[in-house]
Amino acid sequence: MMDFAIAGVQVPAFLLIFTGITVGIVGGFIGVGGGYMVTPALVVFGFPGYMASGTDLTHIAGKGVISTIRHRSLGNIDWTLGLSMVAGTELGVEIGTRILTWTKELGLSTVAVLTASLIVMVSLFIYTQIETSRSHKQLMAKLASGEKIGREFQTSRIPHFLQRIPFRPIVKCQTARVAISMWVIVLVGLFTGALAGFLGVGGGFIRVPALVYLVGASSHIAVGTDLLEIVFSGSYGALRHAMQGNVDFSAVMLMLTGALFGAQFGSIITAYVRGPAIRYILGYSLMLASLGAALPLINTLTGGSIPILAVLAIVLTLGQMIFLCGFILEIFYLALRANRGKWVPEWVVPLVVKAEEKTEHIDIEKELAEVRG
Amino acid sequence: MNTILKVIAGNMWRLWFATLVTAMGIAWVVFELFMKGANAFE
Repeated sequence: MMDFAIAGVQVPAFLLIFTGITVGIVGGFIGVGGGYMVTPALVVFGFPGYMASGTDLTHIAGKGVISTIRHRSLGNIDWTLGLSMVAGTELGVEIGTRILTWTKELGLSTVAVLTASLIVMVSLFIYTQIETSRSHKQLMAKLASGEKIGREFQTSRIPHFLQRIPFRPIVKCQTARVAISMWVIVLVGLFTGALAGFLGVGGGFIRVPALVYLVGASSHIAVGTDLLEIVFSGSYGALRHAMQGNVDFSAVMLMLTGALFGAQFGSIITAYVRGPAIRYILGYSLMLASLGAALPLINTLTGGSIPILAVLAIVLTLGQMIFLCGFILEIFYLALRANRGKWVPEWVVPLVVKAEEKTEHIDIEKELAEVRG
Repeated sequence: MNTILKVIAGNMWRLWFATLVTAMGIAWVVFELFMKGANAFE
């Protein structure tokens, strides 16, 4: 047990390091801060709610920097896209926070926020899952027919429509290989930021699908670019919380010790998989986060009369981190097997990138460097 | 090794389910050992 004097709690140190590692791997792989996993976990560990948010956000800011540096070296960050989106996101968060204050004044806050987050997450989960399943099946068919496929494959038609909107200025995002109106990027940022501000989360799990299914970036670029945004939003949030004394820095340091390893490892694993693998994990994380939002909603609506819900919420909070991290590591192991030419199940083949395909990816990067230079 | 892989990971949903059950089991053990009396709804 370690004593955290600022938060006034005693928690086993290894639990915080473990949280840092697991959420680091998941966050680095699917491009989210993981606030929806860590804040409830810290509350379960005994941190007061305000202290849990502040400590979590400060850890997310630090972890965001680690993952962003790693994704930058992997060529997964589109600076034009990311920095263009930041403006819309910041404004959106402000709008979302004001809507939240307004619902609080109406006396609807808890139920409204939980219901809204549940609807958003379930819808995103269903869409992501259906689309990714479809992509997975089509990839299998294409590979079976001997066709060569790159790292990304997605079947949504919405980006084609949005990329045709002719409002100037049209931005050329070279790394993402997307040319799109700046207005679309800013509006996507504004909308996802408003949702994040209203739900009180960082918004990674909304922005990554938005970057893939609305803007048309590849899953890898969406992950890297979203982590870049998290550095900005997380740092600002961390600063605000630190000024109000809501941050226990010793807890942050322990979590970052784990994240130092986890975030880099999670980011590196993205180099071994195709886009649908990232989107599958994102879908599962949305499903578990929806369950995580449903339990307190049921608890509020029933007035806390079902005691087993509190136990289930704790098991789900810890279990989702272990599950997501475990599934990512399993896919990584299968990807390594596939790279060594060993037997892997048929469903794994379209989800992982083989060694020769990775070489092809490096050539594309060289080609892009020539275009830039 | 291949046999174990074929049984557990032969189908994506089988691997998914096995991982989920194991993860929730570990979480339950951690809860029993360290977090009795904790409240997630505070």
